[in-house]
Amino acid sequence: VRLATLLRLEILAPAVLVLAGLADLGLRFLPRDYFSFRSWEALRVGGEAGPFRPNRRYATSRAYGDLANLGNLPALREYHAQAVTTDAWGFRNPPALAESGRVRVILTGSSLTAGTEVADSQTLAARLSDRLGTGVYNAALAEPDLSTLRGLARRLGVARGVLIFELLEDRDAPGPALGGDEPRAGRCPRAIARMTATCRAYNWAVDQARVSPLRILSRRSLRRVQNDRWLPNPDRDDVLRARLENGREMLFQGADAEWQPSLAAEDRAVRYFSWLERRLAREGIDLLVILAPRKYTVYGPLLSAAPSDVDVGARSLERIARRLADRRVPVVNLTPALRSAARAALAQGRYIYFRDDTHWNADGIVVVADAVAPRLAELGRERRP
Amino acid sequence: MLFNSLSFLYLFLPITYLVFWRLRSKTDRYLWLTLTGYVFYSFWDYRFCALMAASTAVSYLAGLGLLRWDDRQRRRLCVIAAVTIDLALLGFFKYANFAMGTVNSLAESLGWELFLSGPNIILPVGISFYTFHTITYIVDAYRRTITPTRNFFEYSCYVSLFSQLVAGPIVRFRQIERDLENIDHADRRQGWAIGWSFFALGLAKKVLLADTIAAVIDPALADYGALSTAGAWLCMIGYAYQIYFDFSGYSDMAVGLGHMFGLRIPQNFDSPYQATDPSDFWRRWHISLSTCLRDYLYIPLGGSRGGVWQHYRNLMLTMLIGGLWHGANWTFVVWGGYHGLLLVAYHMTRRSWDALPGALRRAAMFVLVIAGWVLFRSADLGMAADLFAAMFVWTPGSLPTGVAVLLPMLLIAGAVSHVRPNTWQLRHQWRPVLAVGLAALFALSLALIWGGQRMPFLYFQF
Repeated sequence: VRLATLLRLEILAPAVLVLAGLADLGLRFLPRDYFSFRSWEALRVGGEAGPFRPNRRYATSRAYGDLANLGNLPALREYHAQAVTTDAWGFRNPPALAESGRVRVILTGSSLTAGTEVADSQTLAARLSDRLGTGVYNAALAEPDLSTLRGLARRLGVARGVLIFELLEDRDAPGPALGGDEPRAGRCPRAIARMTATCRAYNWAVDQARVSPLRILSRRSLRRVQNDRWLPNPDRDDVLRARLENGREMLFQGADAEWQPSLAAEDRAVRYFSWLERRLAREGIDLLVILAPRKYTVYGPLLSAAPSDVDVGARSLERIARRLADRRVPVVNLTPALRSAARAALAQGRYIYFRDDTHWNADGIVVVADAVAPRLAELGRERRP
Repeated sequence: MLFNSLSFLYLFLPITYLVFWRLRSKTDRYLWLTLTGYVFYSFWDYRFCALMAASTAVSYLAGLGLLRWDDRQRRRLCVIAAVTIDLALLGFFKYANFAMGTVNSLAESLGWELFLSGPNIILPVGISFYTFHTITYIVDAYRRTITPTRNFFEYSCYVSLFSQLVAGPIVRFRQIERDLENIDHADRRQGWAIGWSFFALGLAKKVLLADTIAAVIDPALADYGALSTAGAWLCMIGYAYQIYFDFSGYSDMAVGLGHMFGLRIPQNFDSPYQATDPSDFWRRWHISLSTCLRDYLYIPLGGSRGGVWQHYRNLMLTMLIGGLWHGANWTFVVWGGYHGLLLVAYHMTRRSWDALPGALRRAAMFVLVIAGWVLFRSADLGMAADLFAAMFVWTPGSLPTGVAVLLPMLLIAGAVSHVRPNTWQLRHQWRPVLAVGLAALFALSLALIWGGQRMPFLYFQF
C-alpha cells in the first residue's frame, strides 16, 4: 500500500476518530489514580450518592481543594497529603471494622462526614471512635433512606446503637417519608438491582463506562487555557473569592452569598427527622441529628467585607434545631462551636476549613467531634436505665 | 444529540452508517433512515416525535390527494388544509407564548386588566425546519413542480432525515428527490470521501472557530452593560463570525453526512461576508431559507412586479416574516425589518451604490450586517439599545477576557470568510500534506469535544 493512498482525509479523519476511541478504551485499564488529583475522583463510582469503590486505597501528596480546581486558580491551591481507604462495602473505614462486632454508632451524611480531603485517621468517625472508645462506622454518602440505613445497621450488627445523621445547611432532607412508609421500588427494578449487585463483571463495566480518562486528560488540557487570561473560565461564577479579616483569600461556592434558606425545606427537615427518629426507635436505634453550617455561614462574619446579613443560614439551622428539640429529637447544631473555633483559629493564623475547598479540615473535625461526643455520651446514659 | 458530541460520533453515526450500507433495498434504507431520524430527534424530547409524525402524515396524505385529484377545488382544499395544520402547529408551539406575552404587555401599558395565561409551551427543536420541509412539499405538489411520492417511507425519510432535521438546510423535495429515488444505487466510496471532507471541515469551523470565539464573547456579552466601545465592537464582530461558522459549519456537516448516505444536500452558504449589497447578501446567507421565502412568499405576494411601492412592501413583508421565523421575539422581527429596509434602501440607491468600489461595498455591507447581528444577538430591544450605545458612543473600559485568543481567531475567521473560497468552491481532493493538516484540525476538534467543549448550534433554537 502506497503511503499516498493512506494519506487521504477520508482515511485519516475516521482513523483519528477510531484511535481516540481506542486510546480512551485502553486508558480505562490503567488505575484511575493516574488521572485524579484527589481521592474523590479516584474512588467515586458515579452519581451523587452511594458508596465509593470498595477495598481501595488511594494516597497522594499533591491533593488540593475542589474550589481551586473549579475556579482554575493554581496560585490558591493548598497542596496536602491524602490517604483514603475503603472497606468491602465501599465506605471509608478500616477494612476490619465492619466485621469486628464493635460498631455501636453509624455515621452518615454529606462529603463533610465522609472526610473529604483529610486522612483516614482524621475523619469524624475516627475522631468520635477515639473519644468514645467504641466502633463508629463511617457510612457517609450512603443513600440516606430508611431501608438503606436499616440494612446497614443489620449488616453491622447494630441492634441497639446510635445513628448520627449529618445534614448540611443547604441540603434538603431526604424525602419522602412524611408520615408513611417510603415507596418501594417496583418488582422488576428490584430484581434487576439484585442481579446486577452480585455481577462483578457488570459492575466493573458500569464503573469503567462512567469515567473516561481521555475526557479527563482533554478537559485538563483545556482547563490550562481556560484560566481567565487566555480564555474565560466557564466555571468562574461557581467560585467566590473573598478576603478574610487577616487579609488572606478564602474560596467559597459561587452561590453562597445569595443563598437563602427556605421555610418549606426547614419544615421538611423537621418532619423527616421526627419521622425517622420514631421509626428507628422501633428497632432500638437512637437518632442524633447534627446540623452542619456551610463554610460561608461559619466564615461570613470573619470576612473583611462582611455580607449584610451574615446570620441568615445560622438562623435557619437554629430554627430547625429548636423545632427538633421541641419534638424530642436529639440534635446538635454545629454552628456556634464552628464559628467560635474559626474566630479563635483565625487570630492565630489558622483555619478550620480548607481555604481552597468547601470542606472542614482536620482541625475543624476536632471541633465537630468535641461538640458531638458529649451529646452521644448523653444518649448512651439515657439509654442505660 | 449534537453532531459535535461523542455519542453521535461514536454510536449514532457508525451504527446508522454500517446498518444503512448493509441494507440493499430502497424501502429498507428509507425505513432505516426514518427510524434513525426519530431516534436522533428523541434525544431532545421523545414526546415531540409524535408531532413530527403527525406533520409528516398530514402532508403525505395531502400529497396523495394532489396526486389523485385534478380538479382545482379539491387540490386547493388539500393544500389549504395541510398548510393550515402545519402553520397552526408551528404557530401554537412557537408563537403562542410570544403572542400572549405581547398582548399582556400591551394591556398592561394601556392600563387594561387583562392577563392571558396558558400552558408552558416547550418549543420542539427543529419544528421551523421540518414544517418548512412539509409545506414546501405540499405547495410544490400543488404547483405541479414535483410529483408527490406514493411511498410513505420515502417521504418520511425525507422529512426526518437526521442530517437536516433540526437545523436545516431546508431541503426541498425536488432537490433531493432524485437521490432518494436512487438511494439503492448510491456510490458509497465517492460519498464517503466527499462526505468526510465536508464533515471534517464543518466540524473544525464549528468547534475550532465558532466555539472558541463564543468562549470569549459569550461571557462578555452576558455582562453587556460593562462593555467598552472597543469591547462591544470586538464582541459583535466576533458574533458575526461565530454565527457564520457555527451555522455554515453545521450545514457543511449536514452536507457531508448526506453524502455518506448517498444524498446530496444543497448549498446553504456562499461566502455571505463577500456580499457587496443586501440583495447579494441574501443570495449567499442561509440560501435554503432565503430561496424558500422568495419562492413561497415574496413572489406570491407579487415580487418586483407592480409598482415601486408594492415591490418595497413585498420586500418588507418578506423580511419581517423571515425575521419572525427565526424566533418568537421582537428582536428578530426588528432584525427582519432592518434587513427589509436595507433591501429597500439598496433598490432606491442601486445605481450610486453599485458605482462604489467593490472593496468599499463589501466592507460597508459587512458593517451593516454586524449592526443587524446586534439585534439578532440581543435578548431584548433594551439590550440591543445598550449594545448600540456602547458601539457608537465612546465608552472607555477594558477589553473582554481572552482577547489575546479572540484577535487571532478573528483574523483567521476574517481571512477564511472574506478572502478564501468556501467549502463548496473546494474540489475536496486533498494533497497528502493538506489531508494531514486537515486531519490534525479534525483531531484538535475532537480533543476539544473530548474535553467537554460542546456548545449547541445556534440555529437549534429556531
